[in-house]
Amino acid sequence: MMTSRTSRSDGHSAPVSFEKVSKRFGNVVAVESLDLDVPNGEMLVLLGPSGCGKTTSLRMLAGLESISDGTIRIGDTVVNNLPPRARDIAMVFQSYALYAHLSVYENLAYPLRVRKLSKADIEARVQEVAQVVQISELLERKPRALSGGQRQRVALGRAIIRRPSVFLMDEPLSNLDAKLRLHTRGELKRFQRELATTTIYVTHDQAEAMTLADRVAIMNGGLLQQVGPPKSVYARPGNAFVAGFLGSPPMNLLVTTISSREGEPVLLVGDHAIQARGSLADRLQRVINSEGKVQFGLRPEDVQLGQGADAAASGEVFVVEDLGNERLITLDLGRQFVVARAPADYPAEMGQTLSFTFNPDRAHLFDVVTGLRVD
Amino acid sequence: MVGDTAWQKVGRYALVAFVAMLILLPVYWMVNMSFKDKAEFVARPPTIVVQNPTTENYFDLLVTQRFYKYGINSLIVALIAASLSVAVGTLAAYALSRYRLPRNFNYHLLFTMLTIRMFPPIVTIIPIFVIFNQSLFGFKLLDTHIGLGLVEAFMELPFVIWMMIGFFRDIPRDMEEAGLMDGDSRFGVLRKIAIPLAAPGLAATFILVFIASWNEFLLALILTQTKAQTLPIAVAGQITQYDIKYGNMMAAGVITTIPVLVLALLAQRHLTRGLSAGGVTG
Repeated sequence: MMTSRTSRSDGHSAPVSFEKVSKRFGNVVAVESLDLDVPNGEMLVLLGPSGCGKTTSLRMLAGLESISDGTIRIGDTVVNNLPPRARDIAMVFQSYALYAHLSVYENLAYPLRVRKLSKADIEARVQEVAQVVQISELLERKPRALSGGQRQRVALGRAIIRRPSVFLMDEPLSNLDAKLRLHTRGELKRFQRELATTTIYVTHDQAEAMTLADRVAIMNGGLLQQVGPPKSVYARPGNAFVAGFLGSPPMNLLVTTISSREGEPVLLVGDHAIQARGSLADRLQRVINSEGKVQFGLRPEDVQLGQGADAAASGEVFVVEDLGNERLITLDLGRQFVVARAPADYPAEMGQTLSFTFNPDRAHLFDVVTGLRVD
Repeated sequence: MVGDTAWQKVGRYALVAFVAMLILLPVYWMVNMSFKDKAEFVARPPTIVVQNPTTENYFDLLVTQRFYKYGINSLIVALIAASLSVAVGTLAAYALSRYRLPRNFNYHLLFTMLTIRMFPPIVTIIPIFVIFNQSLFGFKLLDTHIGLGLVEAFMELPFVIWMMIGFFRDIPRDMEEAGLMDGDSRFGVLRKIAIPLAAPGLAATFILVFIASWNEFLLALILTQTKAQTLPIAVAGQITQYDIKYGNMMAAGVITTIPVLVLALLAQRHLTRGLSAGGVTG
């Protein structure tokens, strides 16, 4: 067992744990009592809007920001008071932070030179990593002579060259154009699987989080909202914030009043009624709320448009947006809106009234005040 | 500029010519007079272009008075002052730009340093003279290169710190944090990342301090006597008890000006890059 003052540099992937970690800047709480375990070799994505505390959490783990409260461990080592160089962590910055005055070769060699490797070893490792990230022909160039994608590769190369125990990535794709971002995203995922090194990845882009993560941790207002595999968080968000943050377009969330019409339970949105059938009706029974209000959630892909007697609700078409492969049709239910994903050729006109149905099992219910899942 | 009329262009060039004349006329007059003999010196009206050029003033200075030894003194003192103030000032500036002290102490420190430049140097000269006249380990700082260099470095230190803080602030924080993440120490990051990136600023600051020290008169007048006397004092030394050697003074002025002029021209690229600042991009 290592003590807290020794540096760790065994060069093997290590798990990371946050235990009741808080960060305060004066009176502002940036991160509050964060508990998070990242098992060895996992790719965890910290996801949230700007200012949610995800980058601060990453910087605390990196040692670039002090910890106000709590304990951070890498492997068995408490790293709270260790300087960054003693934590055996590599980081890819949003700006890439390449050394502007050094060639690509020297950028890659920097972490090795600091560790006083022999000249021959440095040469060999730089060539090897340059091959892996496909920048072998750029080694003599200065960063300013590289394209965004090339800079990103150099930054990645500089991170992997010394085989750290943990990788940190702070929005590494956000400075790339859309096409390159998709391509690099796939490459990053492959790299991470091949290196099998614990990786913590910060982003505000939910598509990146869904595609890259083994598990995704969603933060908001300095608080951890939910952790889990992307699919299960998507399928069963723990609160209304998570429900609204994941998915594009996000989940429809309507504040409704529980009522009944002709003996059937319904959810009232203004003077529009949504029929609650099957499992949804059962779940509504369990919602105990003095005002009889509940937040009703339904993903756009679960909204099935169609005329007919079995319609669960109907509304006026507010806007139609064509995406090429599909169209998004927004229905107005008393100034609250339901977005539906429909086939590209689905007939719809603004002002027209459309009905929809949905599978009751795929509807979500959240508390109106706390936002917590209530079913 | 685009779309200017001919008269606007003429007007602009006339203004530039006027300003250039204001600056260059005294310099021309100094060079002109340094080649005049005693008779032409007192001619009325004065000759605009020298009629009987002579090098007797230069001969008297360089050969008879061995004026170059003052040049060597000036060089040593300026090098000591510039090296010392830039070395110490750079470290201080880096610390002040990277570490936030509690209770706004960064600001108070910076402001306190600025006050050094607020009072006239003559105020501190008497105490410094007294201190330098004390023998410490059998060694007096009075009339030594190192003594004068130390005082001038001290006087220029706030200037260096304020200049260098600006240059360090222009370096992206990410770049240094990447250095820390790559396993380097704070000092390693300063040496291998911050200083190379701030190099143009460092060079500009060094040159400006060098020139300030080269031209400094008051401190040198009081703190040196014979061994470490610098050029400006030697120029003033042409005013003797019995007469004022105007020709010598002018020649001495020319000799004193040339080295810094050459230095500034050589370093022009650094100076403009450094002084226009913000040269670092990712």
